Amino acid sequence: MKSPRVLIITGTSRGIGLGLAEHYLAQGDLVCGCSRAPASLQHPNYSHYELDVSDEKAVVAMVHAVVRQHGRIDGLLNNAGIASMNHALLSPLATARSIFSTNFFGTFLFCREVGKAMVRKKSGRIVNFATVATPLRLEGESLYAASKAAVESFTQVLARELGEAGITVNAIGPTPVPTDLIKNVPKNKMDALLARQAIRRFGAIQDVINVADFFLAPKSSFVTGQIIYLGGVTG
Amino acid sequence: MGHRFGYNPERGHNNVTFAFWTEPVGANNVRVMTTSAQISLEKVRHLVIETLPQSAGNSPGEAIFGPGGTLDSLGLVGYLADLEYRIAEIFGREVVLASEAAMSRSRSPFRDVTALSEYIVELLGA
Repeated sequence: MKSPRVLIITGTSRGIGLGLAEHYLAQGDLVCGCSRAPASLQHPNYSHYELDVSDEKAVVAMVHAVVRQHGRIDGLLNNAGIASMNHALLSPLATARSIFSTNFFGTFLFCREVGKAMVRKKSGRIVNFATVATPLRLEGESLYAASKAAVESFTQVLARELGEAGITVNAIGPTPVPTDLIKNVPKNKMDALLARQAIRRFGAIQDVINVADFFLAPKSSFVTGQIIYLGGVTG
Repeated sequence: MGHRFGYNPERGHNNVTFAFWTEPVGANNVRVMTTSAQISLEKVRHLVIETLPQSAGNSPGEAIFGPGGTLDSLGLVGYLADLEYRIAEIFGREVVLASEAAMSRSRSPFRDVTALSEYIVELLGA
């Protein structure tokens, strides 16, 4: 019988993060999740950490606690993210800082700290979250797309830096999935976005899980530095 | 000495919202303060040497990284990661060794055993 994997998933209070946590718990994995909100999931193999992913001390403390509790971290799913739709010229600096804090700095901090734990074991899987908004150059999503472009670039460089340590680093670029993240986006904007996909429908959490499963799979040890967009969007 | 972190063990590990404090604990879960006296240069130097990979130097002043150093970039990454976890185990403090303070110095604190030991003592506020 294989031992359960130890996974850290960020942003588990709702949406895709919650769906990922539920999926991997159902697979028998040990899931350590985090969000700014209290846990919205009750499961014997789930531990929740209430934190802001851009808070360095909190991230360091969480990762140390997980290693202390389980002895290792097998996978990291850097799902936590926020979006803001607005014309670039009408975007406050505070919004730009907030988006980059969560989407990029949060991803960076978890990659750095979990990466240290993985380097010690010489194995691990890191899965970051990109977006189709970056390759589609979506108007009104300049800050969100830029923050995720930073995630993509970081993912590809980190993959090279950690390749020799037996750690893979990849990213999933979901299409819009009906979650709180896009609930305030006007319908005509959403329809125009879907029209640019090869497969013109909303994504489902299961679509994201499918790619995450692939990146986390033991057989994917030779797959790194890749960004997989859903819906037939290409980079 | 063990190290307890942000949860009430009586409630178990699961489904608990963790608060972010750290507290070194000794036998019988009695709180033990890590004092400046306990974080001595000698103790830190011993830890720095003990954690070095077998292939690297093992004497005070021995070069670690940079000119004459025995670790390459990835070796340094692994070594500092090990050291951070060992510092947490022994001193009950979670530190980031590659801090802004470290990276902005004209002479790297990672260059040799002595420099690294002195830097860690400084970081721990001893």
